Amino acid sequence: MPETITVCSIDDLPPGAMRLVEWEDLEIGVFNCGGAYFAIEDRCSHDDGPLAEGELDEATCTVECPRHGSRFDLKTGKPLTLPAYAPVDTFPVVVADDVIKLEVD
Amino acid sequence: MASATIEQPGWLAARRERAAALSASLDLPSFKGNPGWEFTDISALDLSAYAPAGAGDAGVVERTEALFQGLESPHVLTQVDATTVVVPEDLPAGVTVTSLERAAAEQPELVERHLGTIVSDQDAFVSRNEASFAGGLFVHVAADVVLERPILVTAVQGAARSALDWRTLIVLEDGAQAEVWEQYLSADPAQDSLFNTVVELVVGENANLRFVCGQALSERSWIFGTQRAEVARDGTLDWVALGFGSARGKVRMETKLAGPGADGRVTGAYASHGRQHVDFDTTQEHAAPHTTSDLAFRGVLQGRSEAVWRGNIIVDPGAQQTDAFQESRNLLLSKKAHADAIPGLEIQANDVRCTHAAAIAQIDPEQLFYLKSRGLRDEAAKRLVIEGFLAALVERFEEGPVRTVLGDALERRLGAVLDPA
Amino acid sequence: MATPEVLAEQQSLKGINADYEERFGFHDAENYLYKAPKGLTRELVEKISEFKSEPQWMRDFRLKALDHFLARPMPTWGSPMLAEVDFDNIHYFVRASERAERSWDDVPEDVKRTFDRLGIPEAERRFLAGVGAQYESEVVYHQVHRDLEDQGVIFLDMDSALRDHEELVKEYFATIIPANDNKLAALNSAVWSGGSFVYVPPGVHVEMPLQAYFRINTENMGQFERTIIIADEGSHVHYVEGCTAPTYSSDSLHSAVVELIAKPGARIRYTTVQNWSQNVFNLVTKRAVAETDATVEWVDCNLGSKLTMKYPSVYLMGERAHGEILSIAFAGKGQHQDAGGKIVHAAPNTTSNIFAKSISKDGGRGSYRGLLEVAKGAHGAKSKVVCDALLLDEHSRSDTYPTIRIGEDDVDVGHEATVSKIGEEQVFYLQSHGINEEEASKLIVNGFIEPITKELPMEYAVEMNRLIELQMEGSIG
Repeated sequence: MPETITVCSIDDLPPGAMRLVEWEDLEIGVFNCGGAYFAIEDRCSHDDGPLAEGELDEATCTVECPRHGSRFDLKTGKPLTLPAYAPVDTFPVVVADDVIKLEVD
Repeated sequence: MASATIEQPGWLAARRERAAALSASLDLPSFKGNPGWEFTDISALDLSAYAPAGAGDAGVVERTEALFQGLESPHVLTQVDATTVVVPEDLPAGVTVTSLERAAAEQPELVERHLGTIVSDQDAFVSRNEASFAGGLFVHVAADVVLERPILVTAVQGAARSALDWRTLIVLEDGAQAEVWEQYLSADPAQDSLFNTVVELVVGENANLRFVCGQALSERSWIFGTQRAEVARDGTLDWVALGFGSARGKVRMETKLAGPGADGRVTGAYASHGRQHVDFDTTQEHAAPHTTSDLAFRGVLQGRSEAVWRGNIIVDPGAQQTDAFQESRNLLLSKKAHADAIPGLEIQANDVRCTHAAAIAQIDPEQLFYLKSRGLRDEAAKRLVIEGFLAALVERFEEGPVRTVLGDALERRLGAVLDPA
Repeated sequence: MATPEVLAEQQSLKGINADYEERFGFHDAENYLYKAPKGLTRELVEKISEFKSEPQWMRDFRLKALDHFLARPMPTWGSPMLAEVDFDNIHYFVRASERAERSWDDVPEDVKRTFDRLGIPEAERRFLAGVGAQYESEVVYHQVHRDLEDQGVIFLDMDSALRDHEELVKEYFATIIPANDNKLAALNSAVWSGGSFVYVPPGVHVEMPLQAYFRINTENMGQFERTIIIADEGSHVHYVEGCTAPTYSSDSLHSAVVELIAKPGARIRYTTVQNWSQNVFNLVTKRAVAETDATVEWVDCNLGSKLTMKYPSVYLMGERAHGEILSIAFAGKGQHQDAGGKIVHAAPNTTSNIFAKSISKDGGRGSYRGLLEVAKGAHGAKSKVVCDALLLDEHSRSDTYPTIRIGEDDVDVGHEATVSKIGEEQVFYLQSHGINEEEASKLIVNGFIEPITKELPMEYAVEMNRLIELQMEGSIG
């Protein structure tokens, strides 16, 4: 039964912005990519370091890991370039009453 | 914390003070960017959560299962937390076996001559050990004295949330012979404690030391070990390490073959399960010509456990006619187990033979098939293969008490790892 | 001797240097670059892109890469010699014709002597020395190119490929090695020039090896080559880079980036013979992806340069993919060959082999640095790594630094390494058959590397053996 956690109000996450949320031992980056919301694990599978602070490309909805440049697809969690090759988890984002929420397992 | 009852000589007090200052200035190694620590993350270690070991209760010993069982009439030294509770009485002439603190007080020149000469204190764990060790072990065997009976040393950590800094110094003068078994145990298999050991082994010319060091600490403990040996001309060292307990940590084992004809044999075994993280970092340094070394490590991994083995063979310029061998083999028994092997060679002499090999595999399906075709059930067949895998290490030793005691310790550990409670 | 302009006129093939005139049309950029000062600036990167008339996305890519390069520190691992690289003291762009103006007289004596001893013809020597000569087999070259075109194979220098096949290049460029992968890749990404672009259509087997100098483009001797090879489904291609003859270069830093993609069922073999002159720092990033049932083989021979740091890798991303790295390194006086390979098993039932041989002599240092990784889920992985090193005298050094990381239980992974010298018994045996000691040593060394040289195209193998013999005699460098 998935749990829902609150992220923030939609005003606090304009297009191009990112917010970090912690849940249990996971850190999740929530992005507003040109009006659409995505949530991805804050972890680059190449070196297990943080991912979400990397550069967001709104045109392709990808985030680039700041350390070695792997670009991750926000929709699927899959890396589009090496050196990362394993995908990371993504989480469904729900917007209700102008509040952004995440579904976590 | 140093024992209150033994008078500490001035030189030792001074050493401890320097070490304490050094320890305060050194950070713990982080796994990011620290060569040798890349695969072991100790960021969860909070040193302040562990109080220095205090006085120990001798009664704990009989309630604690020993790792090494069945040694024939050994000379016994036992310590519980910071208290030495048993010392051997019936030692032959020329042999000293006592706590290191007592030896420093009673034979200061001898101890001062050797203490800290084999292991450098420029390290977070060593400096801490130097500042805080209590009790400890000192073994000295005079020239040409052959100690017939083995020495059995037991360090039991009785108190939870405690840090025991254990220090060993073993000195064999030229031509001496001895066999020392050292075991680190926890009184409570669920206790969370820290065990920090520093071991220095001095093997004189033509001397012969067998050093068997095993830890069966609780699987929630931290273990840090910095152990180093120097073997002089024609000396031999036979070193065995068993890493069965602990949750996480790192044990460094270095052997320097310092004189021509020196020989160092190192044997290591571990069997892990649950979320244990085992880390052994070994070095065989050939610093003189005509030296030999032979290192064999084997591990069995169950559950979500991880093992890191790093092994370096270093041959210094001029160490011609070196013959060095190193082998690491891991048997992975579950999908979530993980093994890292980093064998290394740094060779600067050319008339040498240096070989290393590392292999990681699961149980060979062909072997299994063969055994099952002989009527064994799946579980029994697997068990046999695994036992055989570790037995190969035991067979490096001559038939007799060593084989028996080691084999028995391995069998009991396998039982704990393979048979769910 | 034909100048590049004459060559350009002689080309009738579309896409090869046809835009030569165009490129020299930007006068101010041209003048700037002709006199380009040492050092790396934003302005220089912009000028390079402008000079090449690149699309905006490539210019942006270069500039971002420059930022990464400037922000990253130099790696602290590897060779202590890395500290000698002075980034401010390098010319980052040298116009093609400027290179051609160097004369044969400028080529050092020892390099010239080696050409003689290897029996390499005059014209080719000039070419290989970077002087820009007309390759003798031009007619053969043209015919080969026609055959390739008929099969739909694209084989161009990277600059031309970007111009003529922009979408195809954009699809793959920097997807295997992103600009920020490491400091040297960032540098290359900012100032790259030259290199090859190869695309092989599905099912096409290119029979003869594609050789870098078939491009007849003086950008061959580029410091910062960028190469991409795409083998589409079921295709086969063999690409050969470099030459055994010493390649004189006044450029002290060579930093190439090579990206290979083998699509399902395809096979790529990439052979490099590196014999840069002894003033060169050769720091290269080479990486390949092998998809389902595909194979990538790196055959990597390192003879020259002062310091080479190069670890070709294969990421086995599809089931049953296979990766192979065959490596020879010869480290003579003053040299450090820090080479090896990396294989990542990221899919089930993948296999790999790494076979590395190194020889160290006269104080040279040969290091093997490798990684073998089996990711969780890559069950059925099988891999074997064998590293052998021969130390020819007591002054030389050999290191082996392999790392093995296994996260899956259903695997079979083995690694062995041996370091030794030439066996006395072997020499004695050969001597007892009338062969003198020096000859015997050469024979033994050739035998030592034979498992790898037999994988080279024949003329390379022959030259390689001869070159190794010369190195053994100490007559080079």
